[in-house]
Amino acid sequence: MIALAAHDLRKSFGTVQALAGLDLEVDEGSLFGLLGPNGAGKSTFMNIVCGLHRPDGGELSLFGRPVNGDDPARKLELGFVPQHIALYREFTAEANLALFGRLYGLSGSALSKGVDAALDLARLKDRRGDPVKDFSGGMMRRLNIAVALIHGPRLLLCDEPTVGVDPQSRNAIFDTLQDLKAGGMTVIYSTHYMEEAERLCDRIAIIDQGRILRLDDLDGLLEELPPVNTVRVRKAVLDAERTAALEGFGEVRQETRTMALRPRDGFRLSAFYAWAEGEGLDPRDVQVERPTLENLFLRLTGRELRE
Amino acid sequence: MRPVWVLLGKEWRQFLGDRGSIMLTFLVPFVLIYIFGNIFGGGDDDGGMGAKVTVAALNASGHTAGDAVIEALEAEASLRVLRAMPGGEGEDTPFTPETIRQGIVDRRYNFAIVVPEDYLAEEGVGVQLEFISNPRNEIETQMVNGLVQKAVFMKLPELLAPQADAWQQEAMGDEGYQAFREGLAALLAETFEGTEAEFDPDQMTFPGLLEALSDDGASSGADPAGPEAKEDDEVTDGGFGNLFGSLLTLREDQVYGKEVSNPQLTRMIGGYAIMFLLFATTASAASLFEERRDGMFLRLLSMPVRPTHILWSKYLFNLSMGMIQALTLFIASSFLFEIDIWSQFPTLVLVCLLCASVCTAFGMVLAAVCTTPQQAQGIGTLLILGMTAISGAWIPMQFMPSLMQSVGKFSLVYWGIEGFRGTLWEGLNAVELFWPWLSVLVLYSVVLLAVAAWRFRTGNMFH
Repeated sequence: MIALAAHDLRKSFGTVQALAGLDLEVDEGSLFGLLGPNGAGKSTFMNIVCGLHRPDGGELSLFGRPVNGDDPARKLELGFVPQHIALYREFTAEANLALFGRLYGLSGSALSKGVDAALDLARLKDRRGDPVKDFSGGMMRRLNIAVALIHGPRLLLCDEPTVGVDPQSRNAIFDTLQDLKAGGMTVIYSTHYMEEAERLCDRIAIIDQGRILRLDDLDGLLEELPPVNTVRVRKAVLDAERTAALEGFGEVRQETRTMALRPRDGFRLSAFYAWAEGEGLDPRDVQVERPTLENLFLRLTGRELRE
Repeated sequence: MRPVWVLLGKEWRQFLGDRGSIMLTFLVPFVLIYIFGNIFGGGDDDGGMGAKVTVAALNASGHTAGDAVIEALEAEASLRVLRAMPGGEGEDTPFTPETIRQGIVDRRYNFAIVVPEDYLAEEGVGVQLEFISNPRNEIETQMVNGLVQKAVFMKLPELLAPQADAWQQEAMGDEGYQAFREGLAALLAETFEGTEAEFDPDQMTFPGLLEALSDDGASSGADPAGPEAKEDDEVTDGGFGNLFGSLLTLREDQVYGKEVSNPQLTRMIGGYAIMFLLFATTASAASLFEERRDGMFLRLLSMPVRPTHILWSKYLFNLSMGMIQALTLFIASSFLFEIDIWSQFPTLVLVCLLCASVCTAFGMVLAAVCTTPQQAQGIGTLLILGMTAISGAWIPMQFMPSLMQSVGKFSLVYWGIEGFRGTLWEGLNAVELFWPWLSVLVLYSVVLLAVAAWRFRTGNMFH
């Protein structure tokens, strides 16, 4: 089943076009990555899904039902993890969860169970009575996610949820998201950290200027790139003779004590190894760099700074 | 409505979890009323707005009429008359025309009146007095001017008597004047034959006759208006003035505020309460900016919460806080300065509620219109000070130009002040205050809340 479908979704703020006909579909139970530079339209899309903004045009449906306006029932199917740590810092973890749980309409034992489950998920059970202001950044981030889960949503929207956290907390967050996915929850994960998208997401959409540029799984996306990104040979000095010989393989340059080659189309690695052997270079010094999501991302979105 | 109550509970929980805020909520109104109460003469001494204005006085003419003017000034409750420059060790130095002016230069007092040696006009009929002043305070100056004119007017016959006598003597010549006085004495002796009264021709001058009539009036208690006219609330001039003073009898009938124990503070407290409420609720509205900055609205609005839920919870919380602070201020004024809040307490609570409502709505409009808390603070301060200035909170509106008086009536502060004055000064109940005072406050609240809701819907606060 399709959890979320957007077709020709458009939204402008004054003269700025945040979404310019965005199309995507997210399968239920998948972990969907939304990858884009600053200002690409990720947050606008998430805000529309949450009902914070109304789209100027296009269609949006959630679990097969069209989304129209500010529908409280739809909001109960969603959990939203904002980019900011949106918690009341003078309240305890438990008080925060209870407050947001009440706003989701929970009460009595359902609320107690929801609070306990969320604390368990955030691994904060032993700190439930401590004020949030005393928490580390990672603990706050985990609680920030737990708040969005207290009512048991079917779709979780995470807007860059790991900004500024230590590696341990980041891993804990990843584990949590993968557990949620394993439990059948659909997760849309917005980020501009490539390695997060590579590690977590079943499918990844690269978005820029309000449009989806590519949408596929990781392998599908990388197929667009040549199989080898760069070949580096350590302890190799590039002289005129070697330069002339390597021009047949691709573009070559000297880095510090390293010779770097960016291959041309039709490059064959076996031919390169043969040449290296002939040159008396140690094959152990040859490093082959495979293409990454970042290579594709930069190729698609450009290298200009985004302010 | 459930989200409203949940969010309102959150606001209260935040407040109750902050001991500093709780303390300030109750402490600030106490401190504020303590300061303003003392400014307006609520203290034990004779300072404050009810204090006497010092006026130095010198009778350089040596004439008793000059002393009479100064005595009339001394009888004024609002004035403290100095007849000599107070010395360092209790030794006072009598004023001279030079030293009395120097006292103003040295800022020992701001007003002085001198009855000069040549106080009578050389030509025609009239007296010349010197009024020396440093009019630093317009209201104070106008008050002293009025009281001096009143004293001089009451003593004008006595002041003019020597001049009238001299004018008569000049007109009749010495012999004619002597004959006139002897004839008058004889006529009086004939008229009052059989009484103990004696009539000396030397006393048959204007000053002598006025003095004799004055003494007679004082000793016999004769009063043309009859003894029944001597009531406590009548203002007449005794002694010499019984002749001329009785020409004007001012029967006072104070319709409102007769029983008010602290008139100055009772008149002013409403204005300061409103100003305090405006500043307090405007500051509270800034919390909207903090929550927006922290991304809290994104989170809340992704839940089954609408912007109106957030606004209502903020409104209700600030309304209740404003009520608590306003009532704390009035209760403090009751304990510290004996302001009578209890005889119309339910009405006072209602006026506090409506004023807190209109001030809260004002704060929310500011938050809705401005894009940063700094903007809200700057514009808020400007509007609050402007509104309180033109609404009679600081100085009576009657002192302002008619245009400003008209403009002031459009200010919500004006209606709040009138509501408090109606309750505390005039003792009106809620029904009597309903139109127009309370109705206008309700109207202002509704309009401001509507503007805030519209701006929040179309502006950037929640997006």
